[in-house]
Amino acid sequence: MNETDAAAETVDYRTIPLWKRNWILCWSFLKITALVIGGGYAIIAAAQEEFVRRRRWLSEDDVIEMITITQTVPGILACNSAVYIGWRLGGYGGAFSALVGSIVPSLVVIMLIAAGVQRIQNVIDSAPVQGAFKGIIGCIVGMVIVTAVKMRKKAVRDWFGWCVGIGCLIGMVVFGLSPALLIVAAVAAGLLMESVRRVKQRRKIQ
Amino acid sequence: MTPWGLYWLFFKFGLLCFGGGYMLVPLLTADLVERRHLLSGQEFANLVSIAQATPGPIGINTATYVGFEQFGVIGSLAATFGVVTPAAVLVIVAIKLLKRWESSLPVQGFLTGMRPAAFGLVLAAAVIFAELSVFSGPIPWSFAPEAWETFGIRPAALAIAVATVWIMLKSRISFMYLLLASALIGAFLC
Repeated sequence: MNETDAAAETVDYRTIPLWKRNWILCWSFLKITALVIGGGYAIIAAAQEEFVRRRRWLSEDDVIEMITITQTVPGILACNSAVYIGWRLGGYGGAFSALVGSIVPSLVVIMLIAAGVQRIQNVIDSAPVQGAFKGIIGCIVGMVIVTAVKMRKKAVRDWFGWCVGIGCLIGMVVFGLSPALLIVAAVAAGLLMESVRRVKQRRKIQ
Repeated sequence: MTPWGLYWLFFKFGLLCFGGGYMLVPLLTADLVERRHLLSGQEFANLVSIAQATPGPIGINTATYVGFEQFGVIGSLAATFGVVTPAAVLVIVAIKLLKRWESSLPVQGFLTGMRPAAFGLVLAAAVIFAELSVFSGPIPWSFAPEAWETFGIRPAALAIAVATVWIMLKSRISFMYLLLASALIGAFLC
């Protein structure tokens, strides 16, 4: 069996008791948000790495669905994806556990900084810590690329997909357009495309 | 304002921030700085740079900080839970709606457009993170050679990124070790 076949298989998470699943959700999101710098996509990449690649509780299709939902619904991407994964794996309790795990590290660190613990701010500004952060972001670049490569086959199926995907990439990186605007455009194009496809199909049948 | 008022205020921000936590920044500037004068412009700029340079979602970091400035720990909790409440409800509703009308035209059309868009936005995120680590700054999208003079590559960060891709495709090692190793290498070399 080669690498891609092995990765495509998912493990049945239902064999693990619910309390343990919820605990793993909370603890995993705690680790992810405590270590990952950069917000939304960095946390999505780390979460796909933990729940798809390592534990195999979710498939790559689920990651695509997760990103489409977390992007469309308003709110903080990282928390939206925590709710998505938590809900899928553990229902309401799972969603709550994952959400709490994803906000606790921020609460603690930022409260300490806001409480005026100047020393923490000085530590964060120091050269080795800033270097460590650069290293972490470098690692996240790799993780996000792997996430993109893995979702490519299922996310982009034809010429239309390539146009929309590359269009969003260029729109955001080169022209600095807001993701919300790009999403509205992509959904409008998708609706048009799907309507055309259905009309064509109907004609073929007739 | 009361902590309850703060919760509602951030609840509204949570409903309005389409496209992720970064979108909170313009919303908060318009409301907290310019309309309510809860923070000065300088304070807010400091806050955004702290939120970006510390681990955790940027939107949560910002909400926690603003809340703490108002009512301490209670304010932090109120603002943070306020900003995530609408999202938590809407994500679950969206999962159920997609399942229920899976084969309908609106859902199929939505997915036809969103699937490749999600791929494009993830790639864009990789470029943006690279500009913060692997490259010395934003990529100058220009054909003029002067624009490229100040543009450079950090070899250590590039090596970390390439190694991460290679290790992730080849082994099942936990990302925790990769992140810790990257932090250690970065502390000495970046």
